Amino acid sequence: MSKMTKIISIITLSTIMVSSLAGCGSKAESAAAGDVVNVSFWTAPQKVQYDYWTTKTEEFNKTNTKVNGKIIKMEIQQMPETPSSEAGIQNALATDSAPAISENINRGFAKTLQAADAIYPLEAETWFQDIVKNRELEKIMPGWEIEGKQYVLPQYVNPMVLQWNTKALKELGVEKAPETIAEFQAVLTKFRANKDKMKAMGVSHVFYRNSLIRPDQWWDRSSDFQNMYLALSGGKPWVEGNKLVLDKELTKETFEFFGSMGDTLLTSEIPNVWAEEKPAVLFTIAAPWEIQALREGGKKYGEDFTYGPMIVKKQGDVAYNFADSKGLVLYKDANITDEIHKGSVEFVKWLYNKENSAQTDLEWLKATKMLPVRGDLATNETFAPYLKEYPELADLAIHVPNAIPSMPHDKMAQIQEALGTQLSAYLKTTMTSTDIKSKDATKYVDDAFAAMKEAGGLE
Amino acid sequence: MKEKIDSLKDKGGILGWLFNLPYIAYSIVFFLIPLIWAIWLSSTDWNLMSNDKNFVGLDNFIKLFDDPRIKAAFMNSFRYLVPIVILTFISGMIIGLLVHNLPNKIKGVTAVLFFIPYLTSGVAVSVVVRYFFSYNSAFNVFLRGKGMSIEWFSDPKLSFAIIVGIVVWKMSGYYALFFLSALESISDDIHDACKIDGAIGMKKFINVTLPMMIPTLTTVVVLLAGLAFGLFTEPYLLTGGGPNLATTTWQLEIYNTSFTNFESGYGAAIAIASAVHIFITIKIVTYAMGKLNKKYGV
Repeated sequence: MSKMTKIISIITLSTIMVSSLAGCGSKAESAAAGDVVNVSFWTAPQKVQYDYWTTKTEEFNKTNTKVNGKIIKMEIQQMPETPSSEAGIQNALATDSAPAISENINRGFAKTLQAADAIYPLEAETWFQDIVKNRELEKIMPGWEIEGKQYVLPQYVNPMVLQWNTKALKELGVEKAPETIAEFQAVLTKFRANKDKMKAMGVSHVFYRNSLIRPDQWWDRSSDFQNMYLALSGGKPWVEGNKLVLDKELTKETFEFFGSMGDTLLTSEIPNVWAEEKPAVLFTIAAPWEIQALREGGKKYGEDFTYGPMIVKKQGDVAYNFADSKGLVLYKDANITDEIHKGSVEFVKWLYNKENSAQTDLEWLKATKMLPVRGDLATNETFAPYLKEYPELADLAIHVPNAIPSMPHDKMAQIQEALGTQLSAYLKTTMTSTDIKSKDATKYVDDAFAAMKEAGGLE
Repeated sequence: MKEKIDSLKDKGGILGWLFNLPYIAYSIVFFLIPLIWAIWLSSTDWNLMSNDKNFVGLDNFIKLFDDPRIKAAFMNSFRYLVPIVILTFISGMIIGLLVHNLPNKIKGVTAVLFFIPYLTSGVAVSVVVRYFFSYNSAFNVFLRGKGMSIEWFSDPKLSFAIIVGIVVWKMSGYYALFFLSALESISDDIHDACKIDGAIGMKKFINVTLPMMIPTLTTVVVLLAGLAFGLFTEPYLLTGGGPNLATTTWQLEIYNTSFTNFESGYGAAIAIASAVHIFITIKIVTYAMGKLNKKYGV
């Protein structure tokens, strides 16, 4: 082989190697360069949210807000789902490529981030206190505390109340969704007595909840078990610090509430239960994010379905419910300089300042049909016309003040799965029962407590 | 330097090394470094997010022995292995034989038709299967009309069978191509000799065709064993590993531990344990198939 051929071979191979490894090199150029501070913002991996934040960041960029004399430029991208959005953030933190700010963080995951010292505490910041005031969040924020501090700026909340089949209820002679255990049992009795009538209108079961027998879907325990527990207990927490504070007797009552439905509990999967021409059940846990799709499918609120509160022990009890709620957090990471952090704070300040906050939240509501977290949602005139247009949202808004977010524990998944395993095992013993009196759940509750303590390392 | 270059030349030439360099670099970057990193990670309690990384030695590996989820994944890998290997082998062989006996004109098209399931996305198939077995599906409505109300994914045996069924359906056409290729490579002379000796039908298949296919059968069985250990999409989308861990797999546990429970150190330990498990099993399968090859192979 000639010398020239060897040289060409070496150059070719070197070029291939260098170009194939180009992506593995050092990080991209510094985010803060020249007279501009680039601030990365990650949105939820949904188009509707991405579109909303695109508009907001473009509006903000036009204000030419400066930090240390440099113009802040918000840059947005969707959270990578690799394989979940939480894992995407985990991956970003591991590789020092986290965004300066992101939405889509619930209190449970925020606890994991807080334990990793990956997010900023907010409660001592004046700008945060101003936002709390502007959005009247004073009574809501205690529900977001993590070890006595605030790390999340709540953005939206879906109160996970109950969604009732209005036509079927009327057929049973029930005009109003049941609110107490006694009223609920009366409905259950009526359903059993009118099974044929119900079947004729396509209603084969009382309650649909596929995930009740799927402990792996641990996140759903917030919407069923925790939801019902909150209503029966008057809003008591599940875990405090590293202590399991669930009340055993109330946990048993919650298990037995689901068990009381016996063979009228439907756990076979129905992909879109409320989109069916004749929904197969009397009620489900509400899915407020389906409001727009139901409207487009010709379903009328008040005629086809109605939202009712969570079932409480007796009349007059506050119907606490689970808040499917997420918010914004500001990240700490090696790639986030003080300047970039300050830039992200300026963006949040602009979003929710006195002048913009109501408009920001209204635009969010219009774009996503998910209720913004505000103490004045039901009273602020800015929202009144839209809530009038969407009575289903107005009915949900009533429950926002009593909505409590997920447990703040970095082993939330393990704890909820441990409980779900026992709840599922208990329900397997009740799902053929035709008796309204539910089976004793003591053994399963005891096992659940032991399993939760072990899984979460709880006292 | 000159001596070194000369020594390299002696060992096959500098150009050979240079041509291998991209692959060596690729292996170092994408295999060796991640492997060393995973071994290091498995000896820590790091969650990839925290600044705290505590060295825990072999604790994560010791923990594996008491973890019911890992025990289930270990046992399930064998539970999957047996039916998947046997059923895919049989159905692949049947398809291969059917296509082999077709006229040459339609042989190619038919083989491609059987190959299509392999090309379909596991996610898409799982979603369709989920709809098929959902409460309001035509199939279930029909069954309820006959007095049978079945909760498919609540029953450990049925949900397991559904996952096995999907894998067998998806992979049979693919492995049929291996069998078809082996069948086609048997020369016509041998078939003619069989006819002369009176070996036809099953007799010919068992005594002549199968022994001649044993190298291919070995490949198929080893690949299928690897496949059975790598299941993720179907159990993840259909059952989440339940009910009662009946369908969980190594891959599912690695995913849940690392990315849901954020116990990345422990997740790395599971990944290493599963790799060792797969390696040993594949070695045993290869050894058994080698013996078979020696005894019956042609």
